[in-house]
Amino acid sequence: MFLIAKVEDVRASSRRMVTSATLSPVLTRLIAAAGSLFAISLVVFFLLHVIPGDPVEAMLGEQAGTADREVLRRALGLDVPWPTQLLDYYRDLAHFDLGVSLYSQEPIASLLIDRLPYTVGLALMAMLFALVIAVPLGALSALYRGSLFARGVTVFAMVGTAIPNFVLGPIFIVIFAVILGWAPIGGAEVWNGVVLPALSLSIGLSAVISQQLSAALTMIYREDYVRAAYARGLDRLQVLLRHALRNAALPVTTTLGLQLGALFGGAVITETVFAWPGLGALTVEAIERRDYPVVQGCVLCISVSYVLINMLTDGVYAWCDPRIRKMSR
Amino acid sequence: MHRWWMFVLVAWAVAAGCGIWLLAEVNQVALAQMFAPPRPGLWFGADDLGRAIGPRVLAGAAISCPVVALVVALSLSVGMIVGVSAAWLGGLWDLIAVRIMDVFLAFPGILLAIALAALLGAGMGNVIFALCTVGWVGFARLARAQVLSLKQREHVQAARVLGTPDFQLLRRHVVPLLMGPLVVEAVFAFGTTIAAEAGMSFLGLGAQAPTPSWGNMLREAAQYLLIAPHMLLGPSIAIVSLVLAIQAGGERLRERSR
Repeated sequence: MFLIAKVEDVRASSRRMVTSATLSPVLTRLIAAAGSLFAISLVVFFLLHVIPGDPVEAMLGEQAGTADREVLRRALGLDVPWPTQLLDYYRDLAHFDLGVSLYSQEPIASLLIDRLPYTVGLALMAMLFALVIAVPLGALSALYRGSLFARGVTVFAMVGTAIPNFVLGPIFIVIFAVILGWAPIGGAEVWNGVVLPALSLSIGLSAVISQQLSAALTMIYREDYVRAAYARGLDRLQVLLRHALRNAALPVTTTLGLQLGALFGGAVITETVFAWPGLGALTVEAIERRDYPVVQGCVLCISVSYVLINMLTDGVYAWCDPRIRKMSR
Repeated sequence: MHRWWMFVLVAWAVAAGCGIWLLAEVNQVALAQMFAPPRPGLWFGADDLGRAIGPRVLAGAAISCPVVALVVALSLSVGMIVGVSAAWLGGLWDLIAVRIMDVFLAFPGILLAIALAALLGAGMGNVIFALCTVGWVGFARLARAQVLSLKQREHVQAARVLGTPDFQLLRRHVVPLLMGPLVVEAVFAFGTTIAAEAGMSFLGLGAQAPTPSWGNMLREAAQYLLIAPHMLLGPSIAIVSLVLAIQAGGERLRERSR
């Protein structure tokens, strides 16, 4: 429900926004994404308004003087009625102006741009690790169905989805950094600092993908073209590489794309564990400093990336599979 | 052996029950055994204040389990009311309900819950509220989809033709059939919410020290990884074993209800 986005949830939500069949599929997707983006921005606007009591007091503390409070209230635009605030908010958004950090006085947009590459890099690295782990596991467990190895993969998948990042991360630090000394504890100062956070982020994803790949391959092995390939004298490995894996790639690619967005959300906790300077760590730092405008900016940035990635995945999926392309025409 | 999850679940239920009695004493500071590694009698070692970790994990179960049960129950109730009413009444209310669900689904995972809890201020009540705010959507979606298909079933149509009032139609002919899938979803939600609640405590948003919640204990353990890695052991085993058992149980239930 929370940690790993369900594929069908994400896709359904982006499709259901517009259900008219008369629009072109590209336009439908764009409108759906625009709807999601609008909804997200609206929720982010109201986030500051859920703070119980006076948000200015929550940020400055009870000891703050009246003059300071008024200055902050004006800086945040909280001194005007909320419909005006909403208009101001969208006008600023259109200029990519998200306000300034209460802590460092830096523009929030530039803070986000500084941190975004780290989160994107971490997520991509985690995906790469997940593929490297999941493809051999899934392929072999489909090839040797019912074997001890296949059962081991199932257990790995169960544990992999059950173990949260904040449990796995510290365990990896103890094993790989403290005891074995193979990789640094984390941080972006050294080149291999990305290894442990990416690995711990990738386990859940590789659990999902290995199971999906194994299920897809099991279905494919029953198809006629596979039997025909065997009849032509191809061996197991050739059939796997030339025929089976290619056809199993499509569902796996979609899952990867949709989970890339989920990795962005999961990065909040992983980045904190490993002191990785991405958007997630920025979110938690801002929460601890009560720098709520930055929290708003982070939520907006992460969620917008999530929607855009899902839209791209949907597009790539349709483009890859000629059957879907034709169906939507 | 294939029923292992049942034993784990029963064990945790008993642990949560016993943990209530431990809550008062597990916060006793005993600096003499600060960072003591695991040994017989002190099974999971001691933490930075010399408190035994084993009993703290049990007491944590007494806090986490009821909280998570409450979150799931509230999410299930709200989701069911919204989902059933949207599918049954249709029209404008259905349109609005679906749009609201889509708004929540547009956010990635736990992010919205973290932001909400952070802005509302640290504390268990706010974590419960934040998790419910995000959690009801899954139930609402499922309930709506189920009722939409149940509405077309012959027994419902027949009862309607016989003049059964709407409320009775729902109570007698729709909701009983709806409960199966919803209960399965609730079991899985219990597992993910255990992890989500612990994650938020890990970030410092949930129960505040010295209250022993599992996420809280992992947060403390993560600060002393270099000197006392054994602090990870208790809370990690607790979270993973409980979530695993719940998932296995949920899987079993899903197979049965098919």
